[in-house]
Amino acid sequence: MKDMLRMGSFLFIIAAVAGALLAITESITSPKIRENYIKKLEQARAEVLPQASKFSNIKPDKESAGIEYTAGFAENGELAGIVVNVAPKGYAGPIEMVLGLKADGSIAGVKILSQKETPGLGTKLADSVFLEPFKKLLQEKPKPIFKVKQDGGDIDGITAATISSRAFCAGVRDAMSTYEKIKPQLQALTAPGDAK
Amino acid sequence: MNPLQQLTKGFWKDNPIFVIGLGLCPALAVSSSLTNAIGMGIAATFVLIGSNMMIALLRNLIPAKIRIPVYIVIIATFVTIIDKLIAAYSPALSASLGIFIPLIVVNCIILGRAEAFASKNTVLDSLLDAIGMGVGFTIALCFIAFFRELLGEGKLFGHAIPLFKADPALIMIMAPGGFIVFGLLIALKRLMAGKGEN
Repeated sequence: MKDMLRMGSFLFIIAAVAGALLAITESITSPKIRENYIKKLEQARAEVLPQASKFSNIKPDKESAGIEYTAGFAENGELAGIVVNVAPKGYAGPIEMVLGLKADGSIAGVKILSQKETPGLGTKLADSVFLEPFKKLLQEKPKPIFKVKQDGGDIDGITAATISSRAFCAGVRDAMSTYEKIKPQLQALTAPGDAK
Repeated sequence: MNPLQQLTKGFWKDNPIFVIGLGLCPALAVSSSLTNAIGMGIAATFVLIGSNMMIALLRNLIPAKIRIPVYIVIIATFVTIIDKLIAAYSPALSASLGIFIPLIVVNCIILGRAEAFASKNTVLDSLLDAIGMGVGFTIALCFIAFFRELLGEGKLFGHAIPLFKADPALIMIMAPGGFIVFGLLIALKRLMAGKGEN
């Protein structure tokens, strides 16, 4: 009985110390991690929509009222396109993708922000092995079907990582449908003034 | 065992992968390319050093009956703290190693060394053991990855190797290839060890 009490209290102390350490770490690092994430997102935006130089976040008042996205404007104030974040379900968790769509709805660029796919297989989504042929396809074919070849589409998926490839395609389709949904609003958008 | 032996035993003689047979899950999962092998090796070595020293420090306090849950709490806390710190202060490192850190949770080398070594030895010896085992793990991963990447993709460190590039055997970078290379390397290691004894 005494032994049990001793062991229980020891485990309690260890768990309490571990919990406290984790809480401290979390409170110190989370603002910093958030900051890094925003920096990464801003970088990704510029990469996927190189035509734009100014960005403004469009956030609906209510979750149900619309979709959150970023509008990009060219130097002369014209709408260059939109940037949409999607997170299709991959092989091992969501694949966070950033897509840039030009004002006419065609894809300007894609970047994978984070993923948990199998190292060496699914992670190739972010490599040039997969992205270069994808970019080439976008240039050569005006309206490609964003599905892997096995499913009757135009995308040459990664061998041994079909689920990851399918998820990538689903992300692209998701972004395209977002574009269709917000298309009517796009005309009304104006470039942000002095605010960046 | 002198300190030097304590350090170097894990490199080859008692290699955690080829001899002790610990940590096979990550060893086969991430050994499809040399870059991944080194990333995983470094991440695991850091955690191993931290957990081994911490457990050696507390070894006389931890009640024997509940040592396993205590080790697990210590290791999990350690992994999480390292993960957060890297993500916050070194985003570049996090981008390249981040994917391996959660995999360390399933790396039984960490728990294995805590139980088999750190719980019975001094902090200094445990540190040496951790470095040795971590380096040995990295060496083993690199061995496996060398063959898998070369034969499976015709590349090394992501750079194409002329003779092998033409028609790589894809199976080598998939799970079966991992088992095949691993099995052959163990056989080779045993053959060499056997010769030494005779």
